[in-house]
Amino acid sequence: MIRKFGRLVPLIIVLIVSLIGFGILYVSNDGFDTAALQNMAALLVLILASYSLILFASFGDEYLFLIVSMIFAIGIISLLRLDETAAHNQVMFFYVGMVGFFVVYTVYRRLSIWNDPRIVRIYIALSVFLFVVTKAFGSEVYGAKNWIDLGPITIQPSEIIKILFILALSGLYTNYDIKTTKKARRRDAISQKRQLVIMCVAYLYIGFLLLQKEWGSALLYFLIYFTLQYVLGKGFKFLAINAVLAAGGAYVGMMKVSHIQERIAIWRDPFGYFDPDKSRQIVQTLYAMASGGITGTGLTLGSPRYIPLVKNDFIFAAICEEFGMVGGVAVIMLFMLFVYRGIRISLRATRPFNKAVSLGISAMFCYQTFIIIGGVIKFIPMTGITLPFISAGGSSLASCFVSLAILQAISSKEGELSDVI
Amino acid sequence: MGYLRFLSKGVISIQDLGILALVPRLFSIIFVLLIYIFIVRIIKMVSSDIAVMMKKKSSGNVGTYLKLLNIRSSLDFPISESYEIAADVKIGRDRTCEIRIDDPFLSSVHAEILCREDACYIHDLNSTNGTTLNGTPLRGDPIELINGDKISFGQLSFIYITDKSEKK
Repeated sequence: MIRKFGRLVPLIIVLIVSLIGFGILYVSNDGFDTAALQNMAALLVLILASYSLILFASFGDEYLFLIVSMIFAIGIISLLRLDETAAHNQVMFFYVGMVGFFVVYTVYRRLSIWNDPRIVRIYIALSVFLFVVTKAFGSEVYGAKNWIDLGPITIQPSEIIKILFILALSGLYTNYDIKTTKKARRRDAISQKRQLVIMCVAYLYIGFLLLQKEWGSALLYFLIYFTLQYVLGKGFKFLAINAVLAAGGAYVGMMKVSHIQERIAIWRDPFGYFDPDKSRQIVQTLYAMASGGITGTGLTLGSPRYIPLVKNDFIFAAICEEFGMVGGVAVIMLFMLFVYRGIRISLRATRPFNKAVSLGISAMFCYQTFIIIGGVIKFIPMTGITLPFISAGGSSLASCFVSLAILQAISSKEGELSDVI
Repeated sequence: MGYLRFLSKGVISIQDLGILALVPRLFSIIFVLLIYIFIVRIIKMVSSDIAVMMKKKSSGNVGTYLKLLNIRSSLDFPISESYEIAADVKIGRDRTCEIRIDDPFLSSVHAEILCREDACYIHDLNSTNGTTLNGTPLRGDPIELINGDKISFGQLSFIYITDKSEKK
């Protein structure tokens, strides 16, 4: 028990890093008002308290929250540097997120209903309902009809639907286990018909996203489905069908959809693109990252405000400008560690449904981070996805915390005692 | 820039400002360095966890241990495939037990296994749901365990495996 105190050291590092960041910003801002200072202090205390709870009360894998708190600390400092109000909101969302985290953790852990076939139908029904509501009442922002404006707050339903998607697919893939005949337990008991049903459900979701012109999310959902199909499905037939459909879809998108054509053109030659308003985002990003160089310009010495939408999707560019390539690589490594932990949890789980869900969530974080960072560094065309835990945005943060809670719950349910290292 | 304004509130000449403008850069570098130290520490912690698990795996199941007979995925709580018995162990839900299992059908301190030089004995500690040895409920005094004995408490069943030679 005592030796566990040594495990607090990494969290202390997170706190020191946060204090240094706050310190620099304090000095450069000529100080903050007391409300902001109280907020920051409360944030650090909350992080310390939550981590201690997870560590000492054995709430499951301790590394998940540790990595997330470092990622979040970097995010908060970048956001504070960009926009104090946004940072304040982000901290508020963090409080709500942590409450939600413990609630979801407890609820998910206690009940075993999550893979019940009736509940799986509810997931799908709820998702369709949310999609329809978004289509009907949503407001169009930056070309995608993705937000619901509820007055003071705006929600991005696709963030909620992401989790329902993973839960629904996992349930469908592993539900044959509910019949406890010996035959049904064999992995290749999943039938062709079932895989076809799952494919239709997956494309239902993807179809809705394409209707909403959410190309990035559609790609993300497709990759998650493809991963689950690869791991949980039988045979290569469905993988081949999906690969062909994806290639076909991408081709049609490139030829027919002007929105996509635009983005690809900007990606191929941002500096020469005829409409500077559209290409400004990636151009400014490239300038910013170049001026950052390897070690960065230093916190507060860069000029990230030139980048459009820098608070949400392109915050990684701001991090690269001020903390340099080394800072950007550090963030990427943190996400890689996080995904590693997630996949490990999936390997150690014994119940197929939990295995599938934790795999789906790990895949979600993995692909999401890849797609957004890839878009920021012009590795792939830009998409409208958010960077988990760092991008400013209540819906994004909320869905990340809920996913984290589910992952944490699975890790604690299956315990430290599996044979997988 | 707010930072430089703060500095120039004192009596500082313009030449000095050049060097001092490096301070935020320096702090940023320390910031990033600390993040890397954090990453390295996590990797070290994870590796040491793996090393401990590998040691446990490679030392294998020699000596005396209890092997779980239930199917793990049907149970709602974390449990090991096997529990080594090196010395006297208590079995139960309480944190003080050496073999700690969170089974609601177990008492806080359910039973104990006492190990003497050449044999181990099982002793039910007045548990609520009782302990069964090869089908017979245990009462009172400790009973000697021999290789292959089946022990049940709550919903769990274990088989007792040992390489100790039997007392004849």
